Amino acid sequence: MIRKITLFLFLLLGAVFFISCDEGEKPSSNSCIDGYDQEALFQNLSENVIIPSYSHLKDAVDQLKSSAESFVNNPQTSEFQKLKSNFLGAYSNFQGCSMFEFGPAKEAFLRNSLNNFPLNIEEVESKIGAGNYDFSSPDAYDKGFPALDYLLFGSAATEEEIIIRLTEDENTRNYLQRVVNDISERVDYVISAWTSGGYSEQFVANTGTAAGTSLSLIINSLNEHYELLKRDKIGIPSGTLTLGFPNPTKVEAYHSRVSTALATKALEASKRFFLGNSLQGQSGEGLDDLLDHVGATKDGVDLSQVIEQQYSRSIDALHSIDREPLSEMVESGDAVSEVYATISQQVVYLKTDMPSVLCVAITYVDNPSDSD
Amino acid sequence: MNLLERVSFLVDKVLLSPKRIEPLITFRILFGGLMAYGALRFMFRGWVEKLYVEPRFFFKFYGFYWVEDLGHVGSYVLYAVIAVSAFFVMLGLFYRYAAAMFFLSFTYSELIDATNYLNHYYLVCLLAFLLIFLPANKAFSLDVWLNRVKAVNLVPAWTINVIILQLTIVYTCAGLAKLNPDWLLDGMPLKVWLPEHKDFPLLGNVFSHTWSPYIFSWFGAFYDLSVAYFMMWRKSRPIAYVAVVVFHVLTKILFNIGLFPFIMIFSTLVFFSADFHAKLLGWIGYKKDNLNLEGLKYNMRFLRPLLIVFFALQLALPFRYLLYPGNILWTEEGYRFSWRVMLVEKVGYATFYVRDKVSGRKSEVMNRDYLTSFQEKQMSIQPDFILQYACFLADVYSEKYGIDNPEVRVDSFVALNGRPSQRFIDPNVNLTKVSDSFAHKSWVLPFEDN
Repeated sequence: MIRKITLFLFLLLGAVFFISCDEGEKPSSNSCIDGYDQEALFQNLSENVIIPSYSHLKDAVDQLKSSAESFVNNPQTSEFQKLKSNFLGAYSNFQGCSMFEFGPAKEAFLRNSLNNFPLNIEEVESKIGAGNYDFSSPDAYDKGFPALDYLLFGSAATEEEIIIRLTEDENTRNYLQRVVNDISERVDYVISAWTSGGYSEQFVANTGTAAGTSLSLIINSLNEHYELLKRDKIGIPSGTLTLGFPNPTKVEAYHSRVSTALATKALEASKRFFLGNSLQGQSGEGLDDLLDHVGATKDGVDLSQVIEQQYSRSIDALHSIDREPLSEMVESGDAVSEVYATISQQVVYLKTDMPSVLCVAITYVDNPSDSD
Repeated sequence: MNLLERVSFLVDKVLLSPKRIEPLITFRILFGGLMAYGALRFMFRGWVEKLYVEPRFFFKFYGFYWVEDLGHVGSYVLYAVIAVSAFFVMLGLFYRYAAAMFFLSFTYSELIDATNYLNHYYLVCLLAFLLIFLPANKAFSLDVWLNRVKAVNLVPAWTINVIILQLTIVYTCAGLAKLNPDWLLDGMPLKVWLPEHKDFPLLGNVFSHTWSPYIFSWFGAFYDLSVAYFMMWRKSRPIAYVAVVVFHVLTKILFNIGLFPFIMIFSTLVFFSADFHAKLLGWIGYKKDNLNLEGLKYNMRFLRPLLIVFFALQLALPFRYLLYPGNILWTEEGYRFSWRVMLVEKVGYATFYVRDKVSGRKSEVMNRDYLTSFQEKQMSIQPDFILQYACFLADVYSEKYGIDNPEVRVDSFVALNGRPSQRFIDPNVNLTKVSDSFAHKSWVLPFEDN
């Protein structure tokens, strides 16, 4: 009897051992997060990526605001040049923040309010005509940087005429100032929520893998941003969604002709967010480290490597057509469509591989039904 | 007794021996009440809009492409019919019509959009179908009170045993489906789902422990495989029912699972004895009558073949997957209607391309233009949905852009149970040239576990 029990226990132990070995041998499948310090990741992202990016944006927006005021008080060409250059700076810095669309930014509708493009010019002109400066609808395409792009670069035939229009037409001038103020208020709201409003602490402490945790927020927002980047900045203008017929007027920054540069900035920022790197390029804890921690591989290569290399390829591809304006590029051949194809490859890594191996369920918070 | 006599004795006992009606009464009241509540809940939560009004395209089950959506008002009418007929079932008023009406309206609502398929909705359809033929209104009902039917207190055993059999099939098949390597050896997909609840009071630590997914997986498989049989045995019944309640309450805590736990907690009461039910019903005023053998008269000429076919199908459907090659968790061929519950966590991504053969022009499709986010998620992981959607796109593009017979292809990737993704559908296949059938879908690429 005792012998039988011993034998049974021995077999049981063997079975357990076999199962654990079996598990250990295939780190590529079913790894999930275990024993990883999520707070360190969030701390780095918050301190070295998100908040510096926002303050970088805030600085530029503050300058934009003050130069808009100086121009209104003193409508000289030199002031106008300064205003334009500050606009470009702020628009560029915004590209570094547009993927943090959760928490305060979500509350402030930051991305929609600052960068819904292409601008609805008719709507803007009719609002200017009516003296209507209501920018509360996040679904409207009448405000933010695209509105400034139009007002400063495209609202009349030449630069002189634009200056004249802004000087002589009070409504247009008001519209410009109100748009700048709206941008500035929203950016102020978001950065103060992160710094003094306690969101940063909340963000760092919100560990776990469920929907609504910080990890799920950053993975979802990274994905959402990447898909918007791909669709709006490159896809729609190049005609990939319209049977190959290009839509040159739908590029970002159509009038100021910096579309390619902005797209590159956005892509670089997405990569930085993924790697957890600071604006100065200093390496920190990022999603790549988390992927390495769980030992995620794809076709034998570390998934973190796969994604990082794909980022680099996409950025290189954009550099290879680094000619403005993009609105003309899209009409001359397939170069832009090829860039689009390169950029698109990343989506599957970010959207299926990463959440799957990290076991972050992509559950919609407002799931309309039961599940089983 | 020889063997034949024994078998026929046993069959008589299981099918025809007189049994007291009380378990059926409890079942009727709880099932009807729960379903009425469920339909109201659906309406008041705004799910009618979300699931039947918002989408502009609906996915169908194979063979049910003819089912039409009913629009805003129509969908509410449908849900009102479901609620009212369920309520009538509960009361036992115009019972047979109410049960038939409930079965038809509920089933129709489930056929409108296959995106919303859930095993427990399917179970509701089956139980509702059985209820049409059961004498569940023949005691303690308004039909009796109004003298519409004569009260009886004995019914043939099969009228109760069909429910027991149906539940036993559900549990057993759900248990067998869990006997796969992902579930047993990798603790998947519970490894994804349990840690999501790490902040739950008291139990949070249990959910997030490294070993928990394995323990829960093994316990779950054992529970599903055995609970129906423990419920059948008088001695183990009380403890088995405690397990039923604990198990389903736990699933209620962990998962967004709606009414399913209550359906099972209520339905499994049917395993209990008539005395137990008489006591239970006594709380709401039920009194036992004198024995009355009239209830045993039943015309089986039509019912017998019907029930035989019904249960033959029930026993066959869960195993039809054996006729298909490949991993069922991946291909989902034979997945539905098989009690495969909570077995997969899938992340999918599908990009469709429509091409005009004549001009050679090609367009990528924005799925969000045509599908709700929930539909897109479901579509990207289920081959028959991908096919239906591709055909819908072909229609849209030929109407909107005047393209004759556009080609539709898909770039699709699915990640199963915590693995990296793999290509799901053959990207070279023009999906408009494929038609759905029960045959194996060769355009679904095989799953490679590495």
